[in-house]
Amino acid sequence: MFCQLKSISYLQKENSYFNNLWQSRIKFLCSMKKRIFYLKNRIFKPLLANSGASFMEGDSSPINGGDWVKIRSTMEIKNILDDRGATKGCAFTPDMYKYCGKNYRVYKKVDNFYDEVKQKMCKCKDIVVLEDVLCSGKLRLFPTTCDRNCFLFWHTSWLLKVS
Amino acid sequence: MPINFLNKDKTKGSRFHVGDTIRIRSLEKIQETLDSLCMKDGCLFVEQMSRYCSLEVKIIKVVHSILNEHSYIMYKVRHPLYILEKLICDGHFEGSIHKCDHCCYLLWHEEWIETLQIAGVLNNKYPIKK
Repeated sequence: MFCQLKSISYLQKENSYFNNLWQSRIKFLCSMKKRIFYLKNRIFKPLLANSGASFMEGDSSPINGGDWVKIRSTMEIKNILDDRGATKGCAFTPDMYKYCGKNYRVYKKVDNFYDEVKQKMCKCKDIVVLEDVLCSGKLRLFPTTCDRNCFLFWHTSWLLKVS
Repeated sequence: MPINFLNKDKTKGSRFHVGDTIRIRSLEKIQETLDSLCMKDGCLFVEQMSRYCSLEVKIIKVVHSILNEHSYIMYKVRHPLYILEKLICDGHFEGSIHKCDHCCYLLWHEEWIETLQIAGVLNNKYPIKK
């Protein structure tokens, strides 16, 4: 165990029984919300397809660390996302909408990462992290915000390379 | 009623605050605080952190709560921890085949940092990784 992420369970203080019960309820509500979101998209997305903004074509060269990129507009990204609100498994969270249309520098290209949910190293492609683009930690229904300050993962199809 | 009605004063219990410039203690002083698992109150002191010892750096966040993504439960930490500007995990670990690109901010225990009277300023905000 040489990683702080792997040893995160040692950091935490035990929650009370009622706190855990309350949070289990949140977990259940979140999974229900995901299912409803998926069904809603399955039904309505084909009807609303291509009703948004025009799709801008960017520089097709690969995006690397240090490159400047522009995050596509909300409408463009919504058209790219699948029924689960993700692109090839990379989820687009509500927290990410505020960054749409803005320019950022790529901090790092992500090839491998430790997946906390699966608790193992995972390979990935076409994922980057951007400078100063961090998770706010605000999660609906949770009594407190998460303070971990994680970098958000961006799929390269959501980005346009800026020369 | 706001959603975060249970939210307590997050600054309570922490000796340092966001924006404070601090100095990371020397490796010898930090090692004195560690247990046999290289931890202090459950906070792991990883090898790469020794590179930053005696560095002057700004606090960008005080960590009181963390979300355990595996269980999807929010927990309070045993002791307030600090996230310092620019100090991001490089993902190199002895024995691991692949380098982790998760880019987590390193977590620092209160015992590993000390106050600084004269503010130190670092040049580049992030070292770019290719």
